[in-house]
Amino acid sequence: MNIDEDSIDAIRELINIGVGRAAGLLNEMTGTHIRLNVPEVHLLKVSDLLHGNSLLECTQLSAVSLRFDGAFSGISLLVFPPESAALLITALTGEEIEEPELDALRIETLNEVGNVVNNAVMGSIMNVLNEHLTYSMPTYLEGDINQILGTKQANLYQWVILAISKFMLEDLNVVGNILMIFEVGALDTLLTRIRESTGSS
Amino acid sequence: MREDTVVSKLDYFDILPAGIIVIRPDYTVVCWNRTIAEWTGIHPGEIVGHDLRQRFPRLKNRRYEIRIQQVFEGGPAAFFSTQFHPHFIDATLPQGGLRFQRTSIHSIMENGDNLAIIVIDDVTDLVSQVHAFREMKNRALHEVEERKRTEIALQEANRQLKLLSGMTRHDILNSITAAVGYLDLAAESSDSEKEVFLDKVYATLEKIQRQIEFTRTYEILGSHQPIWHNLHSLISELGVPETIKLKTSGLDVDIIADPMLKKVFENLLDNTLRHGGDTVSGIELEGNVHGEEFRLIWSDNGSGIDPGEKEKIFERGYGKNTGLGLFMIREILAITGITIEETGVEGGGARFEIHVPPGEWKTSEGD
Repeated sequence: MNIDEDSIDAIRELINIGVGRAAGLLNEMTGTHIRLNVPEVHLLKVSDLLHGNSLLECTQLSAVSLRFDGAFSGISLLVFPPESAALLITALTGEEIEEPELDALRIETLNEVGNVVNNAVMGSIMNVLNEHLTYSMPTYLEGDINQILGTKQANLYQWVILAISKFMLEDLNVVGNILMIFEVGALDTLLTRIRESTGSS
Repeated sequence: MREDTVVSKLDYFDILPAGIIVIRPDYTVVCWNRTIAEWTGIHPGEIVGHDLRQRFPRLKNRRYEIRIQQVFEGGPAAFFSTQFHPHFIDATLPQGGLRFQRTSIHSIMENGDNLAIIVIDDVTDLVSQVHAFREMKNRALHEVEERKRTEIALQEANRQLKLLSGMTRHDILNSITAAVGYLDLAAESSDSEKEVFLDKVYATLEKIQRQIEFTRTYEILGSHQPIWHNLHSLISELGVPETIKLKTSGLDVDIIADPMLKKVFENLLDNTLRHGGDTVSGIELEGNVHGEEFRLIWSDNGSGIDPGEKEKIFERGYGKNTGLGLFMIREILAITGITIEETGVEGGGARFEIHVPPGEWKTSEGD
């Protein structure tokens, strides 16, 4: 597959736009001053996902997933270690608790945060591509990255766009990963559409 | 339940236990199902065909509009959690109060119409259960913390009891050895000398008596769990002589300490009366919060403590009486991690600073 630097730049920019919109929405929703930045965007083979990413190597992760199907199919994920997720949620809701942990209500709240981030990133990409996709409901998942992706589906996935994002709120500095995992052939379609829409050959 | 132009499929929503609202991109209500009608008391006839935002102005807020707009543009469903959006559509409970809700908004195309379906779940019971669980968990955590504190206090008390029994045995044996020595000397002395040695034997026996009485007083040290003491009440029970003026401030605080805490203040008062000199006429007791600790300062206007004796006064056996008063103060306080130091200036009166660490004090209830 031909992955040129211009296409990666375009993806990086689209994700940055999406994350910026998500931060704006989270600020309005929560009345806080949360900042999200995306310092790194990588394009990797799914099989290389764990190499050199200590966050994804955790045996226990909290993830909000959004499945998309259509011209290109895959899954968008926002992934945190559970303790970071609990810290982020308690900071966003202004709760004062000694030992943050995820219970049913906080999981639901994390689901909304993931929904805002995933939707903003997907929205940013779809605005450019003018494609119609169908989406699943946001789903909260726990486990290691393989359990979250589902071993049965493992063969379906080929490429992943990994964006490492920092959620900064007052003294809190939580690192989350945004993953867009594409089924076989889906990234080709995405890159082709991006090239067409940006006018590059 | 619906606009005539929309197919009867929307009628199925009436059988669902969730609140269902279907709107057009301009927020005109197309469907208002039976459940949401029951929750809100708004009949479909009153709202179908009207702008939803007129009834529920909060939906004009950008934080809703942007996300709903995204749904109309074919984006993924928007999910609104209970913690951030507890009452998406105000709906009262039969017993009063508002229903807690979890809401999601999905895009649907119906006969070429671009619609958004708002699905509202009533999660009031779930919210109550989670809050009850959180309260129960917090209580359990506090109980564990309390138990840990008690365990540490008991270990400390055990150490002190061993120390107390050891030192008493040692002191009494010393006194008995001295008394036997005086009796031996008396046996070999003239009648006039005998009287001097016998006086010394009496004095030694009195000392033994004081030492035994001391063990009676302190035998319960650490044998009971630490309890919360209200400083104001404790101090008001002190028998301060009329010749001494006691001035207090900042004592509306409870501190956790051995049940013998009162003895600490009795000993401090005794120390002031015995060693303050003839000039002592006033005691000031001031409590204040310093960072996370509570600080209690006992100061008098007596003669004060020599700089070289500031630490020695807390040592066992040091002093003019039993030599145990200030030593025991430090031991009683140490059971719950409270410390004491002398910080006065010689000639300017004695000044004892008591440091109560975080977690071992709280503002008195009702203040």
